[in-house]
Amino acid sequence: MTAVAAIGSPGVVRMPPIDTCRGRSIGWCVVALVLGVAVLAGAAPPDPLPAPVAGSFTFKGTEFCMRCHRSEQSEWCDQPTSAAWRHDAHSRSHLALVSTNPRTRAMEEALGIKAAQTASCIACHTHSPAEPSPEESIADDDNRFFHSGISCETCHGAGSAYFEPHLHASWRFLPTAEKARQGMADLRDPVTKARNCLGCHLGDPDTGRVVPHAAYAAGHPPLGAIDIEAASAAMGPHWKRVWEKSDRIQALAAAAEYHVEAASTTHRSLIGALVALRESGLLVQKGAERATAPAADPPAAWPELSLHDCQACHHDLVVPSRRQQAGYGGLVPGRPGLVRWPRHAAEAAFAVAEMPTTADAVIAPWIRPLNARPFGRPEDLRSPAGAGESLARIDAAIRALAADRRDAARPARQQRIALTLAAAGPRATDLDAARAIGWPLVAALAEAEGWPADVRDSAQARLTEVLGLSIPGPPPGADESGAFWRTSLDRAATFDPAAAAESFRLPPPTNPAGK
Amino acid sequence: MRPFRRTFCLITLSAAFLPTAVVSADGPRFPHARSVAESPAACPAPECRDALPADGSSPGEAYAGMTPDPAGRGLATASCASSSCHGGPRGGNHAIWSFAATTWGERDPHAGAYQTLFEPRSLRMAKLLGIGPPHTERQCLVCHSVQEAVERPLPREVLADGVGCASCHGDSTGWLEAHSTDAWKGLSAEDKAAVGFVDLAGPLERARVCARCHVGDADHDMHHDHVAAGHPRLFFELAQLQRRWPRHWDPDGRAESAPDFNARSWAVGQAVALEAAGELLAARASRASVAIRAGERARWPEFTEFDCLACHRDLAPAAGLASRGQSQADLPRTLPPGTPGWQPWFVTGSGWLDRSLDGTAATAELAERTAQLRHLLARQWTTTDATGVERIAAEARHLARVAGRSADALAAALCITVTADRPRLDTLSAGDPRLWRSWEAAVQTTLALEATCRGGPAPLGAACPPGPVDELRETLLYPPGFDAPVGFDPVRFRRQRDAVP
Repeated sequence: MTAVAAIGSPGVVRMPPIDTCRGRSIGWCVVALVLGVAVLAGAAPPDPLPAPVAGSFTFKGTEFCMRCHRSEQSEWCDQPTSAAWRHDAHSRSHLALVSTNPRTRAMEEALGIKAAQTASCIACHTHSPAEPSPEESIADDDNRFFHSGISCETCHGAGSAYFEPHLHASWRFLPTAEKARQGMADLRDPVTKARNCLGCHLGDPDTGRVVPHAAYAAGHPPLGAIDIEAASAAMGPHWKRVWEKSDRIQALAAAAEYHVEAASTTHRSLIGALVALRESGLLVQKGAERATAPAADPPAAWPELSLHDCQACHHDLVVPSRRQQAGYGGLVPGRPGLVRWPRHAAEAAFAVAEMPTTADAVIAPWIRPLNARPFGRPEDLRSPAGAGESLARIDAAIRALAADRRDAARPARQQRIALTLAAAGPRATDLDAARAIGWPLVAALAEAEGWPADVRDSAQARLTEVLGLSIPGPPPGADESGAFWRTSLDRAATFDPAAAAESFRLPPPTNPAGK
Repeated sequence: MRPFRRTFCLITLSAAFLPTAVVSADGPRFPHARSVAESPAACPAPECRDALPADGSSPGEAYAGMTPDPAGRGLATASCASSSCHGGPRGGNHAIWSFAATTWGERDPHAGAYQTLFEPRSLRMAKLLGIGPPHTERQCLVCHSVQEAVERPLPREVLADGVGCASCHGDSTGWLEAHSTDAWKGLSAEDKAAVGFVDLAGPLERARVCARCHVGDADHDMHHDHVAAGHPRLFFELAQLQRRWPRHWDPDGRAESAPDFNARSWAVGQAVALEAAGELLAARASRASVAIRAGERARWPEFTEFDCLACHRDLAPAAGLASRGQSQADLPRTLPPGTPGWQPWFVTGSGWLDRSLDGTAATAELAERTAQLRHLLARQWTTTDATGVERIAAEARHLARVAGRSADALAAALCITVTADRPRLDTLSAGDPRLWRSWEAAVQTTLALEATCRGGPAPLGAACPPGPVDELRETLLYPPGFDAPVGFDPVRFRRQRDAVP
């Protein structure tokens, strides 16, 4: 798999011993004795990005996690982790597969399927221990896997191998690569986290997580732009950042150079945009690989329209045409291209990483085959010429952003990022693209110097209002988090680029940070 | 809910049916009408003059490095438009033929077809498509001038005529001399055809000539790349176009003098449009299958073959989806959702031919072949397999042949009476779910009604009551700011249609 090969092997971070027992009567708590400093695997530059967890592990079941994570563990979270997750829409994602949901029923009828028995639905709405059989719905009341929705192990990794070891205090500061080897994903790493979220929220043909076009046509809500940081903040985090932990742990972390994540929300957000740009190309590439793989039985359908930019086709025909005015960025007019929304935010991310380029130039390897034929030939797309170089450029920008630290110069850096994003905003031609810039801009303003609090607050409020940036959690008992997406679709349909551009206008900073 | 204003823009539905008219919120913009007395190369609009290269010779891709074909004089309107032939003064006691070219030059949008290529929209199209200036591109000139799809470009002063006399009547090289003698009128149609004169007396001949550009064919292929770059989509309905067209011939003693002229034009036009649409699809598919086999660039699937509104709509839940993208209501429900229907514009009207007008063997096969092709495309519209694409080509060619035979039969039929069949059309449409939902079907219904009761170029046909049909048109208009019938209300349309007495 070229996509994975391009990423390289994981980084290794070692931490000093820390007593995590905090006086609780947990008999298995011991003092870990792992000393070390940050050591990067394959030390020669460029730094490799972490690899996703790979290996065959099986699910233990959420109830095993809840035995400990239900309790108040202030070093993990300000409230019991399980309670935080229960407020998270993901804990109810499986309910969208139950036929009592009217939208689900309509979709099942149109597609002639039962959602709870369909692998591509299950892949993102819950997890199942095995392929469901047609006779036996996994929605049966006794199926504990189905009823946990998108839960602990969906993101952190199936726990069959790490469950026992991670009960020991020594686990806590094991190198992330070692944890990954045992099946636990390092979600503190922004790339791992973004890839994990985008696997469903953008799609990943390799793991069967693609909403086919027929399912959208039958009523599945479109997957809009997502900002990993804004979305996970809205869901209610069930974790703490290192710097949110006690002084004692922070001191230990600093001594150990425990820098596995970019310190600022903005940086993590922009890393998410770069990962999304990367995955938007890999989406069609992986789809093409599966469509041409000799082993695939039956080979994946090609073209699968949903791997492409929805808005390439799904836009109202307006005069004057904003799309024609903006141009098609290297794409033959009228050809469906890659998912568009990460583009401008990623462009800003390249600028922040001091590697200025255009997104059009970065995605050109995937666009060329799409220009040769609508939807492209899978033979041309499974390993597009130049894709490796493009991925390497994206990865280099990610590494540059991941190096962000919580130092004295950070507010000045945030100011420059805010100005870069504000300048990129007016280029957004649709709501999704504008949001993808708006979310990190709101985050940057929160940490930037140069604007009085009232100016900053009103700029954030204006962006949030005009672009609809606030993501409400689902109301208690709701079957789906549909309200936000329904509102988003209406907003997208009535998107006013002039008003959006205006919302990105920032007053000049009182103390320009300079270059 | 999207804001939907009830005030309609100035454009009329008819403007949308004349593809040379640029539909905009400012109202219809026709290319500048001009007199043939002006120098053919003259370009009155300042922005147009600025766009002209000084030497007029920067060639497009197809004509790169070629000198103009000197043997293009038989295509020049100037050879027809001398003041003693077809370029005389309009009106008075002069015979209509004596100022035919004057009428064309002053009033006919076709005369401005070449100038359209200098408009900002056209220049932007060229930029987006990455091609040369439109007035040097064969792909543009084949419909916007008398240029045929040949290897050599014509001289600029000939191209500048736009769609001139020779575009429809044929290259006059072989007949110009004979045509200027009294003996010409005594020649038979066959004699005239033998020397290259194209007879355009009846609806059948006209429809086939118009359809070359207004539907398209292998050499006149206005495809989705062009539309995405800014070209308006094409509509074709012969009776409507004829009625709106400034006539430059005398209807006396011609097809127009027959009482069923409008009805026949509508029926023949529908069959010819389907024939042309079938042939265009066959040409596109054949070309694509060759390219697919060779592993070369191919434009397949070709999106203009399908219902524009199936894809081109925003995804807002409140945006009235029921009224749009429903052109496949007649297709089996076993198809996966999200499959666009083939050419709703062309299949709607022709779908009524066999059931309401003719009833003879000539049109009996139409519905079956159409359904066959639509079903095949619904299953395989994105196929990348050359054999599959060839099958589509074969099926399309078959439909074109059947539609062509229907057109011939309808043109030769003794009498076409749509008027007498109107109650039956009503009955049919009541049972036709497409009319409830699809804007295209609603427009075709309106045009069919108008063809039955509106006067044509000659004051023929029963008079339509002024109110109800006009209201139908209003319901069909695009709302301001849109280039699509966003917010079309099929229930309102149905109510208004039922009110037509």
